[in-house]
Amino acid sequence: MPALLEARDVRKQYGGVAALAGVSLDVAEGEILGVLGPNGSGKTTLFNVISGFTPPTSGSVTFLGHPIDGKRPRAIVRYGLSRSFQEAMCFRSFTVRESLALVPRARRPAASPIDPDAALRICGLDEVADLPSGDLPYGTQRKLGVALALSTGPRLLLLDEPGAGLGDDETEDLAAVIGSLPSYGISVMCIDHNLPFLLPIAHRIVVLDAGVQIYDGSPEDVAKSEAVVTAYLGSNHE
Amino acid sequence: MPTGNLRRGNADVAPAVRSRDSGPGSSLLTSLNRIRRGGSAPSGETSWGATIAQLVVLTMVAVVFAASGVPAQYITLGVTVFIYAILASAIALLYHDGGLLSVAHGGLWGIGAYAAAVLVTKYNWQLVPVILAAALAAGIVGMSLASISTRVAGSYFIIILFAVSEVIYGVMINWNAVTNGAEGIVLATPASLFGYQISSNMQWYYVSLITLLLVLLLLQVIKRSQLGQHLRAIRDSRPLAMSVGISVARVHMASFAITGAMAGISGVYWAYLEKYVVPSQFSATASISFVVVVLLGGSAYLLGPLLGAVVVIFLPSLLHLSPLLADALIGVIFIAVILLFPEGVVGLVTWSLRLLMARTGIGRWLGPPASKTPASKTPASAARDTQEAIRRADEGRQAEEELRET
Repeated sequence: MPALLEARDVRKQYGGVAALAGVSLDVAEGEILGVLGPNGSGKTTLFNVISGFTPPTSGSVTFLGHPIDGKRPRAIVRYGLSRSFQEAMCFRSFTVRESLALVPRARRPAASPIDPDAALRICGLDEVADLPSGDLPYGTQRKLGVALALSTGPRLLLLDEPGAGLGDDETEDLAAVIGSLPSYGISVMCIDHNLPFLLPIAHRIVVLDAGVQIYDGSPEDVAKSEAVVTAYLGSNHE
Repeated sequence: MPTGNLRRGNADVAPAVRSRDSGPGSSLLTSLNRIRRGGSAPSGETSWGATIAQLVVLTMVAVVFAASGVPAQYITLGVTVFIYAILASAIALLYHDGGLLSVAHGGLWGIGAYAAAVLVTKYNWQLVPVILAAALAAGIVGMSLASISTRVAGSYFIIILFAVSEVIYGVMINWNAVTNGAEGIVLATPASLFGYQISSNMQWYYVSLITLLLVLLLLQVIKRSQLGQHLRAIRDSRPLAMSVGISVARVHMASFAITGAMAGISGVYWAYLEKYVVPSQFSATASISFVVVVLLGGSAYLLGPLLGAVVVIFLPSLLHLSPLLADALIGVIFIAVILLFPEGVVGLVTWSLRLLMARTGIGRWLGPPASKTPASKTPASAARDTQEAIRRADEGRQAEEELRET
């Protein structure tokens, strides 16, 4: 399968701290890539770099053949790459339907099958479509976050802890939504700490620790990796 | 396979995203936001019918006032009110829809006034080209303010704009060749508009009234346009707006350019009305008095800034107060309104009307048809329900704001 996204030796330095110390990874067409790592390992920084919210210190990111490192979020969204956030955010003075329609039709990638109505349906927000976003319960706002990223008509969706703070039922719903995205031609990169949620839907797992990859492989084997266990639980022989 | 949650400690920090929204001033901002949103502030989406009706009423009241034979000095005050209202309505758009409190628009107003003074006294320009040139100059300087609003937010933005207005003042007072420095420029020539001379204050009264009506209409068009939607989206959440492909720079540039141009036009009328421009009229103090006008009247309402201007201009004159006492009185009124009626004077009026309707039952004739409301619902219980709903909304908002502050 051709690579949709190629990141090569991406580094991000904040003063003396290397948030990303040379990350290289590919996302294939139709793939759901799970991203794991302890807090502070650079997962969100990686998302910020790929989505254009912060430029990398060095390294390159290519999406669908376009070099996108250092480009503005607006340009990257137009190539078909969008993201959600770790925090619950919404356009509080807009209804759900209005906020999904904020992206002008002309600005969505032409080939995308996703429009605001489709985003509404896929995320199961039909019933609350005409309520003000600010009045929604937390779990529904998280779903709206995914729907907003979807409404831009992406080929690749970056989800930053979409399941954080959700109840069990909501987490199952969300897993079903994310699992269905490849059938619409949308690839996914998903950060989450909740393994029973992430492992069954992910096709591949990348684990970051201190800004470098320590694992890249199948979801089944991630727990057997000594490096991963050490990163999370510490090692005995220090 | 490991089960359970691997999360430990606090959430990751996303420096690029967070640095714009938080900072030492965030609690001040929270209170400012509370002022802007008010108790149950409207979304700014009044229907076109209501907009036109309000503008018709404004026109009728203004015409009757002018025709009723009031002393000439009141006509002059009326022109001042319209001039203030044009500028304050522009500031209100930035504040209410953009969450941007501009304390530099007094400087842009001054740029418009100086453009008029210079172009008329040195080059003898007609009114229409003067207005266009003043709008262009103030619009371009205004547009440059977006380079600040896209980099800093909240109280930092307010402080830097304060500095910008001091810079504009400094240029006015030091650029002797053009502005004649601290001595100012006398503009005694009447304006000429399509061959007619505009010299009396009564003529300026109608010219500035018509301009105000056009400005209010244009602001309503902007609020409903994609620009207005994107401005509110950025206000609601800047990172989220960026993530769906909205360009903060473009939206802010357009908004500052348009409101700056309105400030410039307002400044032209001010120069003609005062017949004299001098830098001290356009210092940061002037900017702050316009912000007071906006907040006093209520930035969420079409006629809020106008009514704020009426209070600030007419009250001291009607009470025959000395300028110092007048400023003190406006200050006291301002504090009282912000504390008691955060939606401004217009908010106070609508609030009292609602209360009156609920108490007397008039609401039954003005509200939805009686058949649709449950028979058991008396006006008193409806009022209780409303209070309950407002209380719940307030609690939710407070909880959310506390969440955001942590």
